[in-house]
This record gives sequence, structure tokens and C-alpha cells, in this order.
Amino acid sequence: MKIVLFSILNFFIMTCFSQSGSIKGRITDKEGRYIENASVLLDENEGVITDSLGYIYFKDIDNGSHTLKVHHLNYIYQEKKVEIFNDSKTVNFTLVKNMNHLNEVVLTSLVETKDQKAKNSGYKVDIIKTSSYKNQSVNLTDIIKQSSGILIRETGGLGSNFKLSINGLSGNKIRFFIDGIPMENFGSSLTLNNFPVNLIKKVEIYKGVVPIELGADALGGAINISTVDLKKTYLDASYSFGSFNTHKASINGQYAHEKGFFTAFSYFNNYSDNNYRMDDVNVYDLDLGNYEQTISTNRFHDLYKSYMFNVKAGVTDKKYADKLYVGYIGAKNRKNYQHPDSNIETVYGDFHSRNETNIVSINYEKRIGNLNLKGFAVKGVINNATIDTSSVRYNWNEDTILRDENSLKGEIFDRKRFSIITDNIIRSSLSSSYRIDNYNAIKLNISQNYLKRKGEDKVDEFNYTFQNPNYLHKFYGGISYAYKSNNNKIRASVFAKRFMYKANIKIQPQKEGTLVSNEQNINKTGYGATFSYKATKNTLIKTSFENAYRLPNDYEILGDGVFVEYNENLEPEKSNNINLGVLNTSKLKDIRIKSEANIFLRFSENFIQLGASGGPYSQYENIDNVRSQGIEANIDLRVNKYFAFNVNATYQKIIDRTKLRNGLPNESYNTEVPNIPYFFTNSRITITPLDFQNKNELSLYLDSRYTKDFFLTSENSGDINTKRIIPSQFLNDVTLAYSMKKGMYNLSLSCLNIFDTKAYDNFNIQKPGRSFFVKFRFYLLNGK
Amino acid sequence: MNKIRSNKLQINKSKMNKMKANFLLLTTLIGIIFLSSCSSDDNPTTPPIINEGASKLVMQLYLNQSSPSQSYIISKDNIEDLMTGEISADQQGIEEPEGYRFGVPVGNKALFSFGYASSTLNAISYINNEGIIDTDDKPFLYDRVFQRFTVSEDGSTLLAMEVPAGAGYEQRQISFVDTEDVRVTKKVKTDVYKSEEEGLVALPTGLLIRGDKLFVPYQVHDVGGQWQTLRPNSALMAVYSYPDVEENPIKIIEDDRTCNIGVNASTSTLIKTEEDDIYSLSCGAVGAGFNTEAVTKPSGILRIKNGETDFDESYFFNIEEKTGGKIFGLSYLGNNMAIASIINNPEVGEAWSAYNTIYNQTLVIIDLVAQTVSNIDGIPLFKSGYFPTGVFVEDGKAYPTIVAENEVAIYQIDIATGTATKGAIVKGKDLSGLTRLDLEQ
Repeated sequence: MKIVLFSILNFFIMTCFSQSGSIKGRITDKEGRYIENASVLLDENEGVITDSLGYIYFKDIDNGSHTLKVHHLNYIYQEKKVEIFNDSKTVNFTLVKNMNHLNEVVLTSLVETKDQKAKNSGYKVDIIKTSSYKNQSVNLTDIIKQSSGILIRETGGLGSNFKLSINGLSGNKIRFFIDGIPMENFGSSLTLNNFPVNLIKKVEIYKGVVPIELGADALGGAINISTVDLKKTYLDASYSFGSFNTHKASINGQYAHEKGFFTAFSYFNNYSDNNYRMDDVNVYDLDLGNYEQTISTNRFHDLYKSYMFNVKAGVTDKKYADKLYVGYIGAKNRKNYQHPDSNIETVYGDFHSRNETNIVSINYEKRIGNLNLKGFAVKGVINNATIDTSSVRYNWNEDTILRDENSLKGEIFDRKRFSIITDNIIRSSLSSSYRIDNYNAIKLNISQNYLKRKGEDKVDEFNYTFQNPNYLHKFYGGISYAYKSNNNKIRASVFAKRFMYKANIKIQPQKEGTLVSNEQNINKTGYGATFSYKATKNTLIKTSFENAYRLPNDYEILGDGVFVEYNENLEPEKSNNINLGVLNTSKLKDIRIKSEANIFLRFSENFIQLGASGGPYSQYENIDNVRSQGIEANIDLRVNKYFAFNVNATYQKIIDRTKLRNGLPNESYNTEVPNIPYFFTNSRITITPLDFQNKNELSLYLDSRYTKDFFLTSENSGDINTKRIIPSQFLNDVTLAYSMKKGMYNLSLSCLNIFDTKAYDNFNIQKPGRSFFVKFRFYLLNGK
Repeated sequence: MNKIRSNKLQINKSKMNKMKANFLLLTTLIGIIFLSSCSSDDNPTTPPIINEGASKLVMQLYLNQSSPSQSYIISKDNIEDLMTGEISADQQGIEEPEGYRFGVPVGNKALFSFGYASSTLNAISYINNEGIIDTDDKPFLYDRVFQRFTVSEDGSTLLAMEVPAGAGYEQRQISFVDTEDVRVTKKVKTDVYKSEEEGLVALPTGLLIRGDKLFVPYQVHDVGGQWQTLRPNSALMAVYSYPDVEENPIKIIEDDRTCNIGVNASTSTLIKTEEDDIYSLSCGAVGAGFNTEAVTKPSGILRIKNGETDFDESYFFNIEEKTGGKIFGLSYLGNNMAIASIINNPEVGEAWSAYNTIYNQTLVIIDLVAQTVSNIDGIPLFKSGYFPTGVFVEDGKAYPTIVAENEVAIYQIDIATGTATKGAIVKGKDLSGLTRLDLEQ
């Protein structure tokens, strides 16, 4: 009810326009080059930081006299006075180089960018800017896993399945967003490991406590990837190729007209044979199955290809909208599977899956005075096909044998399968924030998420999975209040989230053979708070808490219609998440040091897992309680212009807190949950030895990652000499990048896994060894 | 057993050691600056104590934890160890490949373990030359899960059968495993029974070899794999020649005095006496997986006499009439005596509840010839009494594992008196394959 009232209120505020004007302008140097990262303050209470085009823009300015102040590290300070009377003024600045930059530390806090605001709030958020990675041959996942507390465990090369965890919580406990839109069920060609970095501006990782703007049931955290600014005109094209016949191309451009309309497009195409070497695989004869020998060989059925096309068109800075655009995303992939995700004994030579996703969206953003409105609506159709129609069996020797003519068996399933699951999704969200004054603000978000799932099987007449469509409907509402003290020292917020869930389940389980209809409703309220305190000029202490929920997903409730039964009594997963952290910036001679340490605690209950089965059937149940606790720390050193060093480490303990299971004592109660790394570090060294008068640049990046060995199974179970272990690993990547003409032409050479270390994220599932990549990138930014 | 190739686990370990060494190298470089000595003191491995008789009790302990689902090979020196303390995998036991596993003892020489998931590995446990239990885990790989097992009378061959549900009319496969060098020597395919007109296939529920015959009882299921028992009201059994098992059975025998023979996941559906008489179990309880088609015939035991290949018309042991319940598990004790678990009030519970959710089972000792039943007292009501690998018997005592509501425990049953003594607490979900292994000379 409150939500409705607030929305109505919003609407009224929106309709009464006040008397105001605006200021536009540009910051350049004497040579006419645009100055990026200049802080521009309007009357000491509103500020912007210039983008790479040097633009500034203030609107909804009250009539009267105003002052604009411009600061920049390398330029001399300037200010100008402006008179506004229901008009739009253009104010340009031409800055003069400052030869002695002393005021650096003071200046950094003058204007808060959005990112700094987020960093200074109580939320535990990591913001990764992709700019320094854009000349490297890396995927988005490679960047994200360099953040502390984050683990990404892959089962192979490009396009392989992966599991991401934040502070010990993983899988669907983490939610992903692209420009604030939930990516849930967007299909496998739009997952993080497909996105080239060149399409992404930054990545925000919220750990444990998630702001209400990201409207979803994120139990353990959320990752929001932001694509590029809408106000630039640019072209960014890249192509990389290398080991395992891997090719990645991306092109990404935008035309922004100064009258305020723009069109943007992006495209990527990934291809890899993933035919990397596997050491010590067992060959079994295909007829009787007897062991023959252990060999080393290349993977032969692991191709992955995907592409995506995205186009956006709309307007910016209009009276009726700050941003209004429509978008379309089309994506496709094909993925071959060499072996199951769990072991490498069985080998596939034909099994594959395909995904096709088509999504249209409309986005709207408008600021009226102190009220900011944002909304989107998304409609999409996602097809996922699983194709297991082969009668051929393979082994690691690439020997083949044809099954009996009358055999129905595929490579995986007992009956050959060509199943197509079609998801129709409709998602929408409206969020508003209202700044009461400089110190108090209210935010509100209402979202809706609808899924219709239908399945068919082209070859298996007995596969009834989702023959009748099923419907899921989730509603989400969030409200938050934020406070900032007038000396900027204290920031606090409280928030509440309401989840409503409605499932309409029609399923024809194989067991009964008859249609079963079911309706299920879940209502839950989560809440949380954040607090930060600027203890000294350079030290920030922050803490946050959330009582979070994850609603059961479609598969967990609906089952697969075969041997996983529906469970209408499934409860949401629940977790109490706590963060406590300290951030510090300091200067030691010329070395700038940024450090951060964070303690995390997660008290999680009712984890949804596949339950025990006596006969052939099982179902998802609320089984496990888990407590995660750990510490993560990050140090960022910028020694000088030529050398920077970043290192982080995470130590975590994830404890099984389930006393009883199936009514019997759980023998691993109070022991560490196995098969999760508990100590890992990342580091990055950046060396920029040569800088030819700001035009050409040579950079060297060295990325390292260490993971301590860990057990596959419960630590206390079994004789230690017989236990399976995922070994400790120290992996190193190096990239040499050369940029010409101020970053217009870029060429990089990378060597990943330099020492050809055997790499495993999962037991015995080997990952690629040493590999080489070359990347070309062309980047053109147009001022007009 | 010594022909079994050396342990592949060892190879993995050496791989790991190499990786460890790489890392050690790095850390030692740094560590050396700080430390005077940095010896690689690996986990101290306790040297095995060689048991003088080189005979051990082994069993497969399936843990109750959920991630991952895991079992361990546990060994005990003496029978007293089954009667006191705990059977647990805490810091002990050989880690097996992941998942639920069937345990099949082959005489006193090995415990064969087969995983209940496709592309899982088998694990063969035996006593090695040093007198300790060793496990070999990759002798052969199977395409589809084995679910029915039997061992030949001379112990040289293990038959393992795939019973794919919902694989259409695809034939069921029997693999012949040489128990000496643990290799599959041949595979035989058979329908056992099918009717394409009516959409019916056979779901074999057991295997038993007697002389030159192989007996395969079965249920009749829908071809779509919905696990419906569609012809429950007679006992059905296919009889094959052995060892040359052919595609088609010699005959199919049927008896309508009772219902289908066997329950899912049990290897003790058929038992054989010293006189080579075969007795079969017919359950018919909904909780044991009988569903959609109503079972109207009583639960009971049929006999095939020595030398015969037909049900003995003069013999039907009507368990339902005697006990009011339905027989769920049957295991031979010797001297025409057997131990059985009975589902009391079998009308309670939905399909598969006898495996999973309902604790309403009791143990009885039955005299197969005299057709008498005597209750065993002193055991709490339990579930899952289908004896997946039979019941271990030694010196006039039987050792079933009882899965009661709050506790799993081994009980010692005195066969002569029918008295039960509670033994070791099992720290896990279930115990299977309990047997005695001797060192082969």
C-alpha cells in the first residue's frame, strides 16, 4: 500500500515543473584537448566529474546567481559566475597546466562521483573499472575473479560452465544484472563468460548486502555490469586470436548527436575449439568397458561459439526524459561437451547444447528537481536446446563404436533427447529516488518478473517435461532511507524488501502419469541497514547487514518432470549477512596506498538441495544450514607513474551447521563444507615503462593467482591418505600491450599460465595449460 | 586378487605431489630466508598393523551428509568391533568414488562396489599382501548403472545387470565380470520380457545362478519409464541357461498365488539353500514401489525345488496371512532358516515410502520348510529393510543394519534363540556389503 502511495506522490511531483534553467559547458586545455576527470562544483553542493569529452551539464537550477568551480590535479583552479533566468547557459573553461601539484589529497574528496558515493556508503561494494583490461585478451569472468572474496570455478576453457561465489555463497544465491536489469534466465549465451571486456564500462560487486535498486532475491550478493555511456560518440573494435583456435571479435560503437538522440550497437563473436591438452586420461575399451591405458591427449569435442548483437536507440536530455531508449539483444551459442562436469572418465563426442535469446527492452530515466525516476520493461524469448541424439560412443583415444540399431540410449540420457525448453519472460521495474535535502533521501523500487516455461522433445516421445506450460510470477518491492550527516562523516541507510512469489505448476510427472496442477504462493520480507563513518580524513569504517532471501527457482519447484519431482512446500533460502570493513588511503612519500579489509559473516538457512531418494525419484528440499565467515583484504599501491601493484587475499571458513539430515545426525555437523577453496590470493602488477609524450604507451601486466589445496570431501571423513584433493595452484599470466596515437591503435600479446601449471578448479577436471593470445584494438572517440 | 592393476588413486596422488612440490619450491625459496629448516613433514601415515590371520571385516559406510554423497570402505579386525562403539568414517576408511553405491561381496576375497550414477567408477576392495584393505577404483567403466548383481557358484564370475527404466524397448544388458582380474569378459543382451502392443517391458528385480541355470524374476513396467508396476498380480520369472546365457530365456514361469517377485535395489530377492532349493520374495506393498495397478495377491514366498525350473505347486508360504504385513527383505541364514523384514500396516504411505519415510518395519526369523515365523524383539521399528546386499552371518549370528528413526545401528541376532543385541552405532545413513575378507594365498 505504501508503495502505491509513494508512486502516486512521485507522479504528482513529476507533473509540477518548477521554474529553472540549465548550464552546459566544456573543459579544455589551451590546445583545445578535452580534459577528463576535472571536478566541477556548482555552488559547493552539486558536482560532476568530466568525462573523456570534457563535458559538464547541470540542470534544474533555480533562477539567480551561481558559481562554478573547476579543479583538476594537473591544472590551475578556476571559477566563474553565471546568472540563470529560465534559460540555458553555456560556460566553457580553458585550463592552464599546473607545474606543482601539491593539493592532490585535498582535492580528491571535493566532488563525489557515483562510484565514490557507493564506496563511501556502508555497502560492501567492489567497483572494477574495465579500462585497464580492454587491451588484454581476457573475459569478464577473468576480471571479476581478481576481486577478493570472489571465486569462479570453471570446468574447462571458453564457454565452459562456471560457478561464481561471493564470500562463500554461490550459484543462484548470487544475482547478475546488466545495467540494472536482472539477467536471470537470459540464457547461456548471455552469461558473464561470454562478454568481452570491451563492451563493459565497469562492474559493481555487492557482497552480502544489496541495495534495493537491484531488484531481485539476491541471497549472497549481486553483480551489476554497466555498459558504456550514452553521451559519447565512439567506435571500439577488437579482435583477438590465439591458442586452441580461439577467436574473439567485438565491435561496439555509438553515435550521439548533440541534439540529444543517439544510436548504439555492440556485437561480439566468440569461437574456440578448446582443444587443449589433457594429461593422464584413462582410455576404456568401448565394447566391454575395460581399462586399457592412460594417455595424454587433446580435447576433441569442446567447441564453443557464441555471438550477440545489441542495438539501442533513443534520446538523452529531453524535457520529457533524461534518457529514453529502446533496445534489442539477440544472442546465440553452441556448446559441445567433452565430458560430464563431474568427471573425465566418460567421454562425449556429439552431445551439445544450443541457446538462442531474443530480448527487447525500453528504458526511461528522468530527474525532476530532487526526484529521480528510472524504469525499464523487458520482454524476451529464450530457447534452450539439449541435443543428445548420437548412437556413437567415444573414448579418449577417439575410438568410436556404434550402439545397437534399436538402442535408444544417447550419450548421456537413457533415451535420446532433443529437448527444447522455451522461456517467455516479461520483466519490469520502476525505481525512484527522492532527495529530501542534502542529507536525507528516500528510494523506492518495484519490480516484477514473469516466466512462462514450455518444453517439447523432438525425439523422445516419453519426455513430458513442461509439455504443459508452467507459470512463475515474482514481485519485488523495496524501500530505503539514506542519511548523510552535514559534515559528510556519517552515512547510514535502512531498507526493506518485500518478495512475493506465485507459481502455477502444471506438470505431468512420470510417476503418476497424470496432470497435476498446483498453485503456490510465498511472501517474505527482508530488511537491512548500512552505516559508514569517516573516522579520519583518510579512514572510512563501514558496516552493513541484510536479512536476505532467495526464492526457489523454477527448476527447484517444478522439477524436471522426469525423476526430479515438484515440491510445492519449498521454502525460500534465508541468510543473515554481515560485513564490517575499514578503508584507508594514505601516502608514503610518493607512493599512494589504498587498503581495505573486510570481515564477513553469513548465517544461512534452508539451503535448497536435491533430497534423498529411496526409489528413482527425488525432489528439492530445504536441507542445509551453513555459516560462512572470513576475512578479505586488498592493498593497492601506486608507486609512481610507471609502477602499480595490487594484491588481495581471502581466507574463509564455511561451516556445515545442519544438525540432522533425514532425521539422523549429520556426521559433518560443525565441520568445514568441503570442495570450496578457503584461501586464495590475487595480484596484479602494472608496469608502464614507456610513454612517448602521452601518445604512445607500452604497458606490462602481470596477473597471478594462488589457491591453497582443498579437500573434495568432508575434511574429517576417511583416511587422509585416500582422500581426494584439489591441489594448490599458482597461476601467472603476462600481457604486453602497446598503444599508439593516444590509444587509438592497440596491440597486445598475452601468455596465460606462463609456467604451464596444471590447473584445476574442480577435482581432476583439468583446465587449459600455457596459451598465447594476440589482440588488436581500434578505439576512436569523437568529440562532436 | 594380486593381478589387479596398481591403484590409480596413487597416480592421482603423485600428480598432486608434483603440484605440491612446485608450490613448495616457491614457498621454500621465500621460507628459507626465515626458517632454518623446512622439512616436508607430510601427514604422518600410520604403518599398517598386519593382522596375523590376515582376515578382516569390511563394509561400505554411506554417510548421511549431503554434499557430496559419499561412502567409505571401513574395515574392522574382529566381530566384537561390530558390537561396541561406533562404525564411523571419522579419520578412517578408504574414500570411494562419489555417490550412492551398491556393495557386492564376492566370497571372502573381495567387496565389489558399483556406483548408482552413470559414468561412476567401480571400487574393488581386497586385502593386499601387507594384510591391509586396499581399493582399486578404475578397472572398468560402465555405460549405464548396474543395479542387479549375483555371483556364480564358484565365485569366479560376477553378473551385473543394467535395468534402464524408461529406455523404451531397449534390451537389458548383463555384464560378466571375471572376479579374478576384474575385467568384463562378455555382455549379453535380453528383453527378459516385452510387449510392444501393450507398451510393456520387464524390470528385472534379481539374479541367481543355480547349476546350469540363471533365474531372473521381474516386474512388468510401462515402457515410458513411469515406474508403474502394471502386472503385479502374479509371480514372474525368466529362466536362462548358464553360463551360456542367450538372448531369449529358456522359459518364463508364472504363478498367480502371489504378486511380482522382488523389490527395487535389493540383491536378496532370491535365496538358495544348501539343498539348492530356491525361495523367492513377493512383496506388493505400495511403499516398496508398487503403484497404479492394485495388488490383490498376498505377499509371500514361493519355492523352486532343486533340479526343477518351475514353481513348486505344493509350496506357498503366505507371509501376509501369517504376519499381517508384507515381506520386504529376505536373507538366508542356513539350515532352511531365513531372516526377513516385514512392512507392518503396508496400507500406510505412498510409493517408495518403505525406503524413505515410514518406520514401520520389523525383523522376523522364518523357517522356510516348516513355514513358521518368529518375531525378533528388542529392535525399534525401522525403514529401508530391503537388505540391499543381504545380511552377514557368522557363527550362528546374523548382523543386520537397522535404520531406525533417530539412529542407525548394527544388531546381533542369535539365530537359534531369536534374541537381538544392539551393537555398534552406525554414524551414517546406511551400511552395505558387510562381509569377511581373507588374504588369498
